[in-house]
Amino acid sequence: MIKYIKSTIIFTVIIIFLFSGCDIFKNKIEPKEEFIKIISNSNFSSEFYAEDIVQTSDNGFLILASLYNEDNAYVWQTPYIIKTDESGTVLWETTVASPFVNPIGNIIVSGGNYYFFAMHEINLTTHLLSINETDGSTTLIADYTSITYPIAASQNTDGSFLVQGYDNLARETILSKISNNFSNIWTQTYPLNEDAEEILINHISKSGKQYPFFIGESNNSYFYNGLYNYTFSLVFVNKLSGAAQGVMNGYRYSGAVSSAINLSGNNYAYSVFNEGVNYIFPSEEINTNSINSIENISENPILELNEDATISVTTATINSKQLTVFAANTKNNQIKLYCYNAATNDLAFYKEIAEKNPIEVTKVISTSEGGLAVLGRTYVSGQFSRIYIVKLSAKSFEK
Amino acid sequence: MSLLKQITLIFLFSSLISFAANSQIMRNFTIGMKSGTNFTIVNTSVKYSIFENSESANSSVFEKEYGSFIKNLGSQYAFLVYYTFNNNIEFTFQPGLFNYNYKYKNEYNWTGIQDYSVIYNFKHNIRYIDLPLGIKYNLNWKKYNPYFHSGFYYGLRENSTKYITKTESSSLGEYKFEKEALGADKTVITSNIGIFAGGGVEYKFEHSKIGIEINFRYGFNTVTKKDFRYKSNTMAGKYYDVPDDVKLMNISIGVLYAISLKCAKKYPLPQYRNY
Repeated sequence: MIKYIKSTIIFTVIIIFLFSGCDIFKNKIEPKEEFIKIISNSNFSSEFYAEDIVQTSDNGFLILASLYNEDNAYVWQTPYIIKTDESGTVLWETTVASPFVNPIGNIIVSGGNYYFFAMHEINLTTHLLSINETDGSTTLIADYTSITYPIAASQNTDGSFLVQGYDNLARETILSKISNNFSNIWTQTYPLNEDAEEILINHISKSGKQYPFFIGESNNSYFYNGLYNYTFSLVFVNKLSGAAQGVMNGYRYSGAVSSAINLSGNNYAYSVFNEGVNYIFPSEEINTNSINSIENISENPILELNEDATISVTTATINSKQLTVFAANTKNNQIKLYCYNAATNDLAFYKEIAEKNPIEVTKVISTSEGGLAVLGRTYVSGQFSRIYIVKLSAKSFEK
Repeated sequence: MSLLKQITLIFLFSSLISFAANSQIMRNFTIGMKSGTNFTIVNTSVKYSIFENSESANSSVFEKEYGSFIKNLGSQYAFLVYYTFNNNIEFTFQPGLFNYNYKYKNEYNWTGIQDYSVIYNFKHNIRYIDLPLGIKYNLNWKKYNPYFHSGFYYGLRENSTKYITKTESSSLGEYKFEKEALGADKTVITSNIGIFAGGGVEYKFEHSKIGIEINFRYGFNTVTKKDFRYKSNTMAGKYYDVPDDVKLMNISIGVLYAISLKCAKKYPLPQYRNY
């Protein structure tokens, strides 16, 4: 009898031990927490390019993209807009009819409405369109005929917008500040002094090298990354007049700042490419009233990144850590997230998004759920250029 | 499977043998083996795809097409331990290996200046160390013993493999790529719990019996490892295979042979002699 009891106890202990490793109850993750989505399209010759992503009030995403296919009358791209829910399910998608082409990021969020700038396909001028979040319909809001070749846009903390364009006749960059009631506040031009239309058209039509055109803001200046004084440069301008006050010169068109955001004062998180090599600076002081150059940069090259890599930078709070996050493409076909501790500027951790088919990053944003969302494009089956969205939960950064 | 779990299983089996061998109630035990084939029925609760159809939102064109259960042929092998409670009732423990197989496919099409399609055919094999406990009711018709039994099982994932075949079709023709086998342990959680019920018929000899039985299994839990759904850059990133939330049901047919330990007393083990 004692042997019987002993054996029963051993058997019970072992069964309990086995079941203690049971992972059924830990197997929980909601579809809205993490996903990868590819926006598919069955047209053989369609090519989609990601432009910008914002998270909407319902925790879904509004994605601005562009579409090229053989039916396009010119080499320009058709605006293409997608709304997803928080799980990445497409609620609607729409293309914008002619004559509006070449949509540019960023998506502008003003008064609870969403806007984007696009180009007129014939006269190359700039137009502002609103997006109806419910059904995807678009409405023309304003024309800006003095801005040709719109190439970048952003929203300022005071609610106004900035649009960057290019005048191919005068060979100068145009920067316009537009109020939140869509009227022009000021327009400034910045001479390039040489013809760059070919570079620009190759960029806009996605048929050549893609340059990191963008606009940003600090406490005491706006800055645009674009064409200036024979180079691709980061130009700091006066907030009131738009007058140039400082510059981070690139090296002609083969070296430039590839991403930048202002952290505080004159501290910037930025990245640089020069002759194919990339550099990341999680926090560096830049004198925005003087002439600087990327030519002097040689420390900490990140050799794993693609030549002249597209890099997107944002700040995020993940698992209560203040981070500066750079998203970039690596040579082994990963989108790598370099997450720096904002307090110490040390690398906190990496996160790698890897696929077997090619992927390219366009933008990284922090999500309202405390994670990150990455927008880019992939080549489905190695050949069809399609929009690619990754949502990462804060939990995924714990491992 | 971790070394710890392997050791635990060895202990489990040894303790059962030790229990049977040392106990005065050994004569109530019957041990044996069984094996057979099975057919897996896939029960998907939530369906997933990496693709979103921009042309018609909420379309189901990217849902996986699961094959008929008849094609989901698997196999199982088990030791049998029966404890006879009375003439009609036995308690059963049948530790073994249980192979679930199920097939599905995804097809993607592009049309326009050229037509192009890709079909991915998947076969997912999941092998569990299977620990079913049950109760068996015997009808005892002379030499024949029809019976019914039911109980629950706990499976420990021992291995998971996916076999993928890709077929491309275009105006250039059709090309079938070589089948690729990928380890898929991380796509499946370790545990699988469910209930089973079935019946069979045994033919009794003096101290042994042979039989045939059929069982139905119903898995309670989703076996898909949800937080790994998008993590495999080969599965998701190359084959666009994002697993659905899957529960496994199964119909198994097997044959068995068992011998009563009553005979151990009647026919003691031979004693070795020293010369």
